Amino acid sequence: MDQKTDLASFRRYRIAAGTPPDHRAEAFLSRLEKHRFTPLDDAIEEDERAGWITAEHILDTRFTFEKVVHDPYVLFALRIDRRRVSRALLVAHVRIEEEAFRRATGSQRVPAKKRKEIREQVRDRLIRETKPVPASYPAIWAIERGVVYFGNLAAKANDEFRLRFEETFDVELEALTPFAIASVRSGGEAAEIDRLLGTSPTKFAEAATSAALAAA
Amino acid sequence: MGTGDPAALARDKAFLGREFLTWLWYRCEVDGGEFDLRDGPVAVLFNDYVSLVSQDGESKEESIVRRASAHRSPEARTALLSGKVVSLAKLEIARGDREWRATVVGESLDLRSVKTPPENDETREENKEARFVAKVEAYEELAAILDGLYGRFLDVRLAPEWEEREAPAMGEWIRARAAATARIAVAPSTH
Repeated sequence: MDQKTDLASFRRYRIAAGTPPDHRAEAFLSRLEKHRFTPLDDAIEEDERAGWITAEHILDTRFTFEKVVHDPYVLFALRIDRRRVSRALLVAHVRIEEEAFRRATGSQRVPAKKRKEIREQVRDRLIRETKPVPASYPAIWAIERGVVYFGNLAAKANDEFRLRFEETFDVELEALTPFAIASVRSGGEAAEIDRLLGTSPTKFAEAATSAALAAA
Repeated sequence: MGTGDPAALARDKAFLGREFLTWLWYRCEVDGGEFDLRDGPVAVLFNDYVSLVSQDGESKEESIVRRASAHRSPEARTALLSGKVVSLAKLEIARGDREWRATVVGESLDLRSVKTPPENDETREENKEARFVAKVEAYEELAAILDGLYGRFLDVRLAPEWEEREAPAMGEWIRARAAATARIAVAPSTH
């Protein structure tokens, strides 16, 4: 397994609703293809874009069974490209533009509306001039068990992953959090779910005191 | 599940994950860290990093790093006594001759810095495909072990036994550890 498919960190999801498509059918690959990654458009001030790639390398959006299906697992990756302007650079350019405005108008102050306009123009210009930084995160789907492992823990990446996965495969994903795992484990048994919903944080030191008092 | 907004429930009940890690620490100390799970016994060891936070998760995290056994440090004991619970724990988990390392995040049960058992000679000679499958199976086995341990916690946590016995016993354990720390701190020098 190479670095691209290593799960150094991962969050687990389960398929909570919907019927996943047959991973052995061409239509499965077509879905990945339809939601594949396409590069950021330089013509517009877009600062982020995401889409599927294969696990081969970051430029590979040609999905084949050989690359994707590794029974009992399916493997692909989410690529997210971001253009980020450093705050220091933004502040510097804004100050330069504000100074130019003051010299041009002979005014000591830059009106608030003009300052906002300058800031937005500078930001848009810098975004267009900034090269996007690509990042990719593996997704490993244990098809039979209905569990998906996503190789990143950041909130934004997970939101993007979940949205895209659900859109691509017409299913609903649920993160396997402490509550979700407990809930699944209960098998939907009403009494168990009620007990789970009725839990509240334990104050351990107080619990010791209460028990001692009760025993006295 | 039909029980409400999943995101809100995940947030509201995140404390279960932190209580699980705290319980795991307690059980490791009291029972020696051996757990008999459905797929076989495992041994759990707390490693050189543990992080504690207030029960509601709102206070600043207090991270404790020690070359070995961060959880045995006076800082960890004091944090527990002040009502904090474990938010993050670096664990070593062994089953037979196979060993995993991972940092478990309490509020989400995410896994960080995961190290799976090294490939054996047989696997190393397999093709790339077979090696990939073996690696993912190792991740899955780790996840199953974590679920098994969490299941043990839930068995107690959702039973009357929690309030009657387990939580008070953990409270006593916290106090006893803090008292032991205080005794060590004031013990006269023998020199």
